[in-house]
Amino acid sequence: MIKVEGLYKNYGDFEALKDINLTIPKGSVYGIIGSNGAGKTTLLKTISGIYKPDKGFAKIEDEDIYENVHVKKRMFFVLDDPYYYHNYSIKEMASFYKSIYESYSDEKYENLKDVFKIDENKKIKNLSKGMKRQVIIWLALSLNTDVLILDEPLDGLDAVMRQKVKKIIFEEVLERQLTVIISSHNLRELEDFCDHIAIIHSGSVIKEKDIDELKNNIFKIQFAFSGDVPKELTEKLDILYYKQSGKVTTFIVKGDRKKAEDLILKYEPILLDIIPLSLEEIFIHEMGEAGYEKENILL
Amino acid sequence: MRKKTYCFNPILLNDLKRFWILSAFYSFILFLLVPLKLLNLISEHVNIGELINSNNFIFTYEGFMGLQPLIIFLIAIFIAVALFYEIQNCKSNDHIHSLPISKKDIFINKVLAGEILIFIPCFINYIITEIIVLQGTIPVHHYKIINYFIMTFINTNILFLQGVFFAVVTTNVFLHVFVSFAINLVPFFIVEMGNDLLNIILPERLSESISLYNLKYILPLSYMIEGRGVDTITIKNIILYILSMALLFLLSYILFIKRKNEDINKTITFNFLNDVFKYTTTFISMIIFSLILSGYFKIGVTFTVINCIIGSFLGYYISEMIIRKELYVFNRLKGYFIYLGIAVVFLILLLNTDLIYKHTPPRAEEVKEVYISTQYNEDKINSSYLIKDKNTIKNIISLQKYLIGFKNNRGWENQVYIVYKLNNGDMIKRYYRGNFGNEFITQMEEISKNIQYKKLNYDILNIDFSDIECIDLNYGKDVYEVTDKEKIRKIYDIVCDGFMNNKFNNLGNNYNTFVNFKIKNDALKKYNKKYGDIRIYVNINLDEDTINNLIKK
Amino acid sequence: MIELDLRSRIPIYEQIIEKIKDLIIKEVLKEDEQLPSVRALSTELTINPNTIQKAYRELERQGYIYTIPGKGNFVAPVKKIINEEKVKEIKEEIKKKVMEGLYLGMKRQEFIDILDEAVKLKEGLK
Repeated sequence: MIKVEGLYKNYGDFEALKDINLTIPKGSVYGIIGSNGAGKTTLLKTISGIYKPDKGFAKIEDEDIYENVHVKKRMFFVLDDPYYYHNYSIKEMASFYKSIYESYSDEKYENLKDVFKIDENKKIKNLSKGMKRQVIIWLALSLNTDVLILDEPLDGLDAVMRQKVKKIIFEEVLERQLTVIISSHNLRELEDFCDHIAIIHSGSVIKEKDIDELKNNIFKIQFAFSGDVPKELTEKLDILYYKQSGKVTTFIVKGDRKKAEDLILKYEPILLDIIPLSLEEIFIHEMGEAGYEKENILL
Repeated sequence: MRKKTYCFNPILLNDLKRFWILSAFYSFILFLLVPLKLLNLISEHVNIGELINSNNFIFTYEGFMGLQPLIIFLIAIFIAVALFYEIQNCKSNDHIHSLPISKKDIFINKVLAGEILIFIPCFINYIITEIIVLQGTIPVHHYKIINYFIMTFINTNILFLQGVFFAVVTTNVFLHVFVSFAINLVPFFIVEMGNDLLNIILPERLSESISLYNLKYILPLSYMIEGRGVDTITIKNIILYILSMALLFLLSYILFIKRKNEDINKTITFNFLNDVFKYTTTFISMIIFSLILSGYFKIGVTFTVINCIIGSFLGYYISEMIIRKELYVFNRLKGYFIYLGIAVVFLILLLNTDLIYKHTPPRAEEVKEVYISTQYNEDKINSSYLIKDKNTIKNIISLQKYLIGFKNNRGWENQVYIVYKLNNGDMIKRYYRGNFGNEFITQMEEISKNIQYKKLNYDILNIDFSDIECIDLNYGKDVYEVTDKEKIRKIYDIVCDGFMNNKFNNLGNNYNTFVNFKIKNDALKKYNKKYGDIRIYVNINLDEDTINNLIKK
Repeated sequence: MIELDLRSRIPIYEQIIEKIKDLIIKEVLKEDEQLPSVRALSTELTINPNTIQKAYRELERQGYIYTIPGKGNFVAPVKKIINEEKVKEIKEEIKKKVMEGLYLGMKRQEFIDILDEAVKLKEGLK
């Protein structure tokens, strides 16, 4: 389990991260969403032990990560723009990682070779951007670490490759409780990938939740009464958004879906429709509630 | 107990694998410089004399038309750049620090890799040279070979460690190479050029040569470039070289550990070094700019000061631009005005008070002895012939007061050097030049009547007659060589007598004879000269009778 | 076996629950039959295994399936639940139709007549 608590990180006068609290359970696929400049990369770099927290801590199983070789052996960080040594072939790069990570598995490397179908003797610098990404994911998975941190990993992969990579990662999660931390500014991408999600904006975590809870917890209700909308509804429901067009009222409500449904049914509506929101819509409304302009956060 | 894991090999091996080619290249260069040359000598069957000369030539840094020190520097710095670029570039720095390797291990492994890359070429070439020497017939001392290769290793190593230091504190490769190069020359440059600048502002100041060669331990490049070549290994030298390497290593190590990884996107990774860089650049740019312009236009103090202001501004602005990575930094000039303020205060103190520079002559009772001459001779200032006579000292002081009055007179008619040695051990050195008029001649003639002045200025008075080997006499267009003892005696007497009785002096131009005394070689020791020969030149005025007497057989 | 709509607004794990419930109710999955393993589903659908696991846990909580550790998940004897579910579903449907009828101006007595007719029909069948 990775725990981040009260984490602050400054670049000179600029506060890149402010009081971040996260709990990343073992074996989860944990998504960090935010726009460019929100602090995703800084957060990932702190979690992976590149940056030292200015305040607070980032720990894995109760051990600080920064400059802790023992703990860092258990994690691997895939940079958004993957680094490889100039002139190195895939094989050479693999043997470099092999010399550093004891957990490296030749078997995984060989297996993945069949999946990615890239010639291992090719120089990485000669590969296309998408292929470079595949290579780094191939290598990252061969390392067999407990934790994999991926910064915007699926950018530049085609749809088929994306599915493949996801499949492989899911397999690892299932097989050996691999913990994956993944950042993206693309909500859609994370929606069917992660089981937990943290939304980060200008250095703060706005929301951290199980993705399904997040989805269950906020929904759209469309209803119509023959008369006026009963007062009790507006009083008892946590309404984020309200729209009236003719007889039909649309609420976006936060809270328990069943309760809200029962409450409205009590007044015998002539129309009642409950629609789940897409993650993107949830995002917009959560942000709106937190007082952010949605344009600044959405992408 | 957790198993402590050391990560020695991966980084080291990886770096060696990536950069062995640099080591191979260096080996090749050294091979061209020493073993190949020796082989050439053998194949050409040169004679022993030439061989000895060539030996000297081989075991110096004069190869590649004198560019050898520069090549050694470039190789050292390339190795540093190659190895340490990984921690200067954002991407690779993030990468290596995300791996389970401690900063300490990264640093030590990289330095170690550099040491190996440098050591191997020196070692291989040493072995090859030894083999050639042992097989052939070339009389080379083994200590010379060892000395050369150990010193080459040490020099390369120090330059490499400098490169490492600047790799830790800068993130721009060009700046890195430039600063590593500049740091070797900057102290010498500041001393030399700063001296020249001071001479423009204070023309009567006599610059002293300051020896910076003890800096060779930490800045070997300029020592190598100066043609002083390969230092000899002594216990003291070795200890100091090792200390300097240890110092460079420790300094870089501590800074690397302290360096924050997020600061990698700054040009200079430590704020306090920003200031060092900024003000050094400002100062140097001030000196260069003002010297070039003042030298070009040959103008006075005011214009030089204006050039200083412009030059320092340029330096400050450019360094600020480099640090901030912005073109427009006009809102960050506070530091420049502080610098300017300090410089102006310094200038005012320099020009108007005796705090930094003594404008007024010393008091007679402060002075122990004085050097005064129309020519400058460093050796004599340290000799025992200085003027100690109180009366003459008073005369010299009053002469100096008279000369100070000629502040804006810059003629070439008269010149005089005055060096006071004070009772408290201080020295005041002055040089005056201008059209000082008859008053100056009168005063100088008065001073020149003093016997100590004579001994100081006319070397021939300090020479025994018996040590003179021969005399060349230039009279009119003719040159006569005089070897006859009697005649030598005669000329010697005339000259000495003339000086002693104030018939001649070195003040005016009214002479017609140029006398060149050559001293016997076996008397060199007597006059504290270890090599070469002694010749004494004297200008005198002789009437024709005397000349005819001397020349006629 | 299960088709999911990844673009749907309905959370994936709810979709899984609903689909499996559906299969059980329609008796495509019979009592004590083994459900597809998490791995199989995850690979087949490219779904986060944690999501599938969570859906299975929810199904277990609701009594549709039971787990034998080390073996997998199996369909629970769910006749009673299924009936309840079905009744609930029918009630919903009737209610909907009745509403429609009301809008079209049908009277209360007309509904009662339909009920009586239906009862008779059922008895007649016997």
